[in-house]
Order: sequence, then structure tokens, then C-alpha cells
Amino acid sequence: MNDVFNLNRWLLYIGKHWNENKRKYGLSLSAIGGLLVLWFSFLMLTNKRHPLNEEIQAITYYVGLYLTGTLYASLIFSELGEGPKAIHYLMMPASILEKLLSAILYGVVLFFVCYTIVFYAVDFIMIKVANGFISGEMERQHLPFRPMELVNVFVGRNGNPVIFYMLLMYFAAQSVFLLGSVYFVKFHFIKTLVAGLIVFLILVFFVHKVLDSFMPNGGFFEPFTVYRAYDPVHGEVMVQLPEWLSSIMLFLMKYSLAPCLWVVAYFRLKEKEV
Amino acid sequence: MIQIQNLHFGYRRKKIFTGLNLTLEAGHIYGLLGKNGTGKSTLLKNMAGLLFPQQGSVNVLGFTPGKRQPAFLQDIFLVPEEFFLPDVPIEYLVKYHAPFYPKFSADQFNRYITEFDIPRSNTLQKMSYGQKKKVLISLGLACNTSVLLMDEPTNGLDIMSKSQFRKVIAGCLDESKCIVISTHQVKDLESLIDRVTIIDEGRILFDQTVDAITRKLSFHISFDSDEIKQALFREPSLRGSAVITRNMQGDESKLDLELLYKAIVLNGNAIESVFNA
Repeated sequence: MNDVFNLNRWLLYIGKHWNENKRKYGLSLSAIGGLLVLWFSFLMLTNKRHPLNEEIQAITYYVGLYLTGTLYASLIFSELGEGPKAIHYLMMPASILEKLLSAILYGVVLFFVCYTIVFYAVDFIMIKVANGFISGEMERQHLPFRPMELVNVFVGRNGNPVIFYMLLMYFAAQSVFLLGSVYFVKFHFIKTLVAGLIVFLILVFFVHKVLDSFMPNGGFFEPFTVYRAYDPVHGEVMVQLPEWLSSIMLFLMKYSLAPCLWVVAYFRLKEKEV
Repeated sequence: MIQIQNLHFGYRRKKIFTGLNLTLEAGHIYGLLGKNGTGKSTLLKNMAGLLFPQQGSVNVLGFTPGKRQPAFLQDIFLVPEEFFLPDVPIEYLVKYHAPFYPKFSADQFNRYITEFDIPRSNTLQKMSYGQKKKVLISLGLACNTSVLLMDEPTNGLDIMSKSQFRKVIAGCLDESKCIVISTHQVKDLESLIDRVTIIDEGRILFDQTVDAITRKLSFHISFDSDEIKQALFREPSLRGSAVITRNMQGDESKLDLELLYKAIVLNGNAIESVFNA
């Protein structure tokens, strides 16, 4: 039997995890749905015209996704902080890779899918309710009524790629919190948040203070790929990375952060002691 | 089956093992005795791969435990002192754990659950600590792993359960299994173990089979003042003195594990001299 990954064993492990946690997951999703209902109800009480316009829906989706997604990710390996649970977890006859992939499946993939389904289920119902109330009110006041529509949270207005980057950033942020749940024994969310901020500040300091002292006078014209230098003799000079290198760098910046953090989590999990 | 060589291990402020050597063979029930904080649980965790040696090596079933390979994990079971069981009915616990252990026997599990008198209808969280522990012990035994490690298994068990525990353990040992039971409640294991290993200050103070002990030592109550004076170890009791003397007759005496433990800790050299002679 393969000691690194065995599909049958992984499926068994997934089944075991589901059986032991299904009640907790059901309650968590119900709580998320309940909070969304409360929030949308609050909006309907405070804005009588367009309480659930598309912008509000999208903002609600992403704020909720970031908050609940990172919070949930910070709890994925929280059992490793409790001796008896950690022993139960580490002694289960499955490989570290299988355990990590199971955590990613539940914590990253299925959480995202389920959150989106819950959001749309609540959003759909609340828009129907809001349209019903507002159309009646508008009719009484003989005002024109334009019903609110369900937003597509994955497509930005006029093809704006911001939404796409928001999603990429979400998965990266969630992976940071997943890693934090392996690293820290207690208070995973707070500690990861603080550690993440410290790392971010160090990076900012590095880029602005340390890196600047090595680079010629100027600044990045396009992030990571084109540098605009001010030369006293030649004037403004553009230094551009070769196309292939730029493409690779941008690809890595976009897609590699989350998988890299998963790899770090794998090695941290391997060296975990109880 | 389990080879520990030159094991060094310590926590941040405390050294536990400094060069521990120990070999455990299949077909035996080992009693790992020692005071609180002498490293019994730490030793079991090193064997199970939950802690990694800082120096030296631990080899269990040909594996390095710290690598936590599934092939190793499916042939070892640890019943920790403080344990976790998910909040599921017993049938689900079996359904979702058994496939991970190739030698698991549902018949055996059902037999142990019946012997331990566990109600099947409750989920595990609704059971008492003792009942949950008995479920875990039943699961561990039914998995039929080559190595079964138990850390203070009788803690939290009532008098009847302790007796059931001894009966169940005695019935499950075969030539392919090695059972290691760590405890400070030595009386619970007296009739069960066939090898006594006493740890103190991170080193093996005493390691002998029960056969050898009962052949070479005699445990009895004495009223003879000369015998009491010459005894390897003596302890006043309500009637006479409990003594350990050399077994000159050659007949096997009845082991008093508690007395032996005290003798080893308080007067180990005298006892050792009998076995080294």
C-alpha cells in the first residue's frame, strides 16, 4: 500500500471526517445563513428603495467570505493544539498528504462551494422578499419600480478583473490562516492575523527601504515587470523583463501563493509533536 | 519488535531520557512502571511517533515511528491516558475506524463491548469517562495491531471494570503481539504482565520477566526476626512484615508487584545483585 497517497484510503478518511463533523458543518452553515438573513433584513429596514442592490450583494458576499473563510481555515487544524485530539488525529492510519488534502477539500474547496450556495439561497429569498415589499410600497406611492436582481459575484462590472483578484487574494489569505492553524497551538486566528501583519509590514519595509537602496532612482511602472528609472543623462528609461519571464512571474504571483503555503503546512504537519 | 537505542529526549526545561536502551519482543505483556513524571508516557509517545528522539533511535516493527507511515500506523494502537473519541454512536465508530486496520475483528469488538457491559444505544459523548475508555480499549484490542500501547489504562475504571480489563487483555495476547502497559497502579497489573520494566529518572532501573522474578525472589509475610533482618527488602505490615528474600527453594513464589516496585526504587542494588549473580 502506498505510504504517500492511496485513493481508497483517502476516500475512507474523507468519509470518516464527514461522519465525525457533519453536525458541526451543518450548524456552521446554518449560522452563516442566519447571519446573512439578519444582515439583509437590517438593510431592508434602513434602505427602503434599493436595500439589496448588486454592489451591496457583492460586498456582502466578499466580506462574509473573507471573514468566515479565514476564521474557518484557522480552525482546520485546531485539534492539533489539544493533546487528546491531536493524538487521535496523528495516530489515524492515513498519510500526512491524505490528511492535508482532506483538510484542503473540506476547508478550502467545499467551504467555498457551500458558502456560495448558502449565500445565493439566502440572497435569492431575500431579494424576492425585498422586491415584494418595495413594489407594493412603490405602487401605493405611484412611483416607478425597478426590481433588484441577483448579482453574479464572480463577474465584475464591464469585465473589471478586480473580482478575479479578490478571489485569488481570498484563497491566499485562507491558506495563510490554514498554515496558522498548524503552527499555533492556541488563539490561531488572532495569532495568525498578528503574524501576517508583521510579515506584511516587514515586506513593505523591505521593498520600500532595503530594495530602494539597491535600485536606480525611479519606481515600478507595472508591478514586478516594468521599472521606470530616471537617468540624469538618458532621462526616463524603461527596464522591462523579457515577456516569458514576466508571464512566469505574474502566473506565480497569481496562483502559487496558496499552494506554496499548503506545502509549508504539509512539512509543518509532518514535524508536529504531541 | 521494538528497539530503542541510546534514546535522548527532553522537554524545554527537563531532560527525560539520556541514553535509554530497551528491547521489547512479541508475545509479551510489558508492564512499564514508574513514579509520576519519570517518562513513561514520553516513552510510549516516542514509540508511537508522537514525539521524536533528540538523539538515538527508536525502531518499531521495522519502521521509524516519527515518519508516521500508514503501514506503521495501521499496525500500532495507542490508548492514551487522556483520550478523544468523536461524538458518534458506537456502530459508526467501528464503521469508520475498522477499514483503517486490516486485522480488525468486529466479532472481537462486540465480545469486548459485551464483556465490558457498554450500552450500545448511546453516542460516545453521552457515556461516562470509564465507559468511553472501555470502548477505546475494546477498539484497540479488536484492531489486532502487532503493537498495543496503553497509558494508564485502568485509570477511571471501577473495580469490576479493572477485573474485566485484566481478563480481556489476558485473553487477547498471542505470539505476534506486543502489549506495553504503562501504569503507576501496579496492583492492577500484577496477574497480567509477564515482564516488568521500571523506569526512574529517565533510565531503566529494572527489566526482568515475571518468571525470573518469581524464581529468584520470594514475596511473603514473615514473623521471623532473623529473616526480616536479612531480607532484601522489608516493610512492616499489620501482621508481621512483608519481605522480599532470595528464593532458595526454587519453587515459583507469588509476585507482589507493589512490594517489588518499592524495593527497586528504595533498595535497587540489593535486588539487582540477585539477578546479576
